[in-house]
Amino acid sequence: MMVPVEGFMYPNEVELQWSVLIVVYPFVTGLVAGAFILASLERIFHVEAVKPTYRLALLTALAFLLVAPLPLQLHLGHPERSLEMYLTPHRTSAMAMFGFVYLWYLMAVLLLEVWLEYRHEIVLLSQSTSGWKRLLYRALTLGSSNISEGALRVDDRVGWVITLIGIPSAFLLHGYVGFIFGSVKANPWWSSPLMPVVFLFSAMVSGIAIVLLLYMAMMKIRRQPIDMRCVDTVAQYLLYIFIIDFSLEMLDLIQRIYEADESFRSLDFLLHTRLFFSQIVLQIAIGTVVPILTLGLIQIFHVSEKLRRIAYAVCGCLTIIGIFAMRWNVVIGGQLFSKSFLGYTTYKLDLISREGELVAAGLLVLPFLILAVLMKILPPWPERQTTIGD
Amino acid sequence: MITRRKLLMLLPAAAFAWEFVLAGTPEIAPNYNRSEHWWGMLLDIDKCIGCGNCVRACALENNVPEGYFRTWVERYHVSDWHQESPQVDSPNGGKDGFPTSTAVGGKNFFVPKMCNHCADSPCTQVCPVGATFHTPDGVVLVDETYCVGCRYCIQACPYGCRFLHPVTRTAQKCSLCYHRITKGLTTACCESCPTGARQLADLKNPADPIHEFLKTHSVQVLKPHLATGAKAYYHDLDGSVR
Amino acid sequence: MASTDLSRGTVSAHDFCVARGSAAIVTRSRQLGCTSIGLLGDRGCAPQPSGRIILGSHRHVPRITAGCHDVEYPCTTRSRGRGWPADLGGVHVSKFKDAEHLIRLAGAFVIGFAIFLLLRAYFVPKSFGEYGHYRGNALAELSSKPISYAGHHACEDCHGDVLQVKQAGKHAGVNCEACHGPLAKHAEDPASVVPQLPDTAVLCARCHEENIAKPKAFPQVVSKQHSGGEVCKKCHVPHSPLLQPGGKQS
Repeated sequence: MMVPVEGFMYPNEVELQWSVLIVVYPFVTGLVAGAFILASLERIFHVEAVKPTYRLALLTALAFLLVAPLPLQLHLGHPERSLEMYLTPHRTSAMAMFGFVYLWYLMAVLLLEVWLEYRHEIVLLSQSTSGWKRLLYRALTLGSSNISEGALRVDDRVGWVITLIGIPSAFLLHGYVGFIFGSVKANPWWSSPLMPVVFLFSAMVSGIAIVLLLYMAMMKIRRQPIDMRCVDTVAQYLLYIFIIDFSLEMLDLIQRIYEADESFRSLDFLLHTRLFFSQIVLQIAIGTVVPILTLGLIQIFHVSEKLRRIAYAVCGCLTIIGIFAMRWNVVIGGQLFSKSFLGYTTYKLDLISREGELVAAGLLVLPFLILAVLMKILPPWPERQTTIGD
Repeated sequence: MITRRKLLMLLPAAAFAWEFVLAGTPEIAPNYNRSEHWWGMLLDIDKCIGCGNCVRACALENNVPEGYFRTWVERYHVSDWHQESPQVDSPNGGKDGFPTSTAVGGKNFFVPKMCNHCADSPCTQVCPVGATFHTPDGVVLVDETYCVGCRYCIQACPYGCRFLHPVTRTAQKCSLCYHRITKGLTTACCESCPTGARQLADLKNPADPIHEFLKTHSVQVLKPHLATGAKAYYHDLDGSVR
Repeated sequence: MASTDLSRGTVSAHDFCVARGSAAIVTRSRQLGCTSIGLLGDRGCAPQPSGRIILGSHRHVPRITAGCHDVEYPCTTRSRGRGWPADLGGVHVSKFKDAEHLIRLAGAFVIGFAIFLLLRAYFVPKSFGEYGHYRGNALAELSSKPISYAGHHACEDCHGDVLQVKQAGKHAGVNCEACHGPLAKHAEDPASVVPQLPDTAVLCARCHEENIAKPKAFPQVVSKQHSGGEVCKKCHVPHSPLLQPGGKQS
């Protein structure tokens, strides 16, 4: 309990309640929402250029969505009681309602969309593979092997409707996380109507960036040429949404500085000391300004393909780091200062504990492992065509 | 004649009653009617001497773990007119009293803090499962067998009065000694306060002396701008108190 | 060797197997905007001259029964990947409704919901919702925890003599357990717990040691100056502090 405290904190505030796992959680759901929005660009808005990333985006969203409840479960004091949130949800609680939003998004949007998109292959693979793979695919067909023209047309139509519903659902999925923070009137660092919007746009940025990175990585691994028109378009959208996200964050900051309410002095001090590296350096400078400038310059000046690829990869990585830093600054930052506005505490992050560094790192790696498995079962790109002779 | 069936019915009842005999306490007062009470507390800053009796008594009465506080006392020093930057300290929550102050001049006073048992509490609003709630008689309680330990309520409380119990891993806070007030006793902190700085108030009972006090004296609540409906009323609370 | 040049609008493959038992993977390639046709190999097929794709029947694909006709399937580049012409020319459309799989899915959802309702009926505590959104029994449970402080009325029942002394002095408003600690067990069964007398050297200082934050009117002393380290009980009767030991009023 010996945590360095500066100034005065209410005695029960010294220990942080929401740990790094609660940083990982909005980061992961943000990637889900962002990847899905990118997928919907192609499906609903007919942005043909990003088609090569469509299936990859869906699978990425699914992989991250499956991991999303894990940090929450590990964080709970009694994870064995977590079913209570579904059995006796308190309707005034944003967290309880979020449980249903998550369930809706998983079952009625994402799984359904992936299933409909892949159903054709699933049926065929259920007939052509053997062993446990055959069982798996047969299970996935739900017993129906109708892949006639009519059925596929139905799938397409229904899939379109689901994507359409999926866009506001994705907004809700991650907006809710922002709302959970933004509606806590006790905490002035969190309490803001802008919070859900900022969270959402930064989620979109991170989701687009991760799909961009994964696409480029996968093409490299499969030794296939990167579709430059595709990545150029994805990078363009990344830039546009980044600009909106940055504007929103700056608006929040500027308004706080201008209004300078009761909490301002305390928060300002926090920003200049404990949060300086993670907010000013990582989140704003390296994680936002550098990618925006780089992507913007690429729009203005002609840059060679090779250089563009490198730039996209670097910007993608910086973006992901920057968005993770943003989640850190909100969640951890919001607990570092006292609600009396008279003091500050320190976050003691253990290496090995239920809510420690290793667990957090593991949870960030796990979705990629799941994605690898998903890509094996549901290949996002058609295999090279071969004949019997090959 | 005592049949086996009767014995099986009597045994759990006996075991239940025996627990009370051992603990030295009567069962729930049979004539306690929840709808007749609306509980609050009066904290008189003029009278608090920072002895820490309340903090110790609460810890003993409610088995509060070391390092966590269901109630605590803060010491304020406000120099000149600097209302917005008081110097505050609360060594171990005031449990062992306060060391001699090094402050010179200005306004100095003690402020006991506790759960405000808010009528519109943000903590009960955010609980996802219904583990924390208002009783019909105005006390905010935690059902520790139902709490999942998500800590949303701890984040939502503006007064910092909640904590996560390190052993049970559920949220905990001042229960207004619900197990005492429903038996006609007062809370442990009020019982042990030597100066009457803390007094339980039944806001629904016109015969309650505090009830009248609140109607005729200047009283304040903490963070009124958050509209929590706090029912811990402070008398003579300085504007510098956070 | 086969080459699939989809961009040209037709598939030109050189070797095809027309023997029974070969299966075709027809992939609607939405990315590329047309249908690609690849073949799974089968053993011992005789290659056929190029130019046409023949979709052989396959015993494991009962619903798409294309007979052994030479049918050309030109690859179209309609954007939504609708590579199939409307008329399949010889393919018998299955009897199943085209939405059959969705109905099965809906069924799965209904089953899931039913399981949820069962879980709810089984796991939600019976008293939940009795008074509000919480377990009703919690009220009784929380009311019936054991107490540690007896309350001054319990003390006064037996220790009336002390009460008299106290009421006449400055400590009239100080409850017994404020100094003597929690004694509910003693109140219930006096013989079971013998209360320890508190050490006045420590006890009295907690309230009466001088501190700038204490109310000015409250009696406080700097104990070193006041008593030079002597224990308080030497000169004060704790129950009525202005009384000197021996009964004299100070």
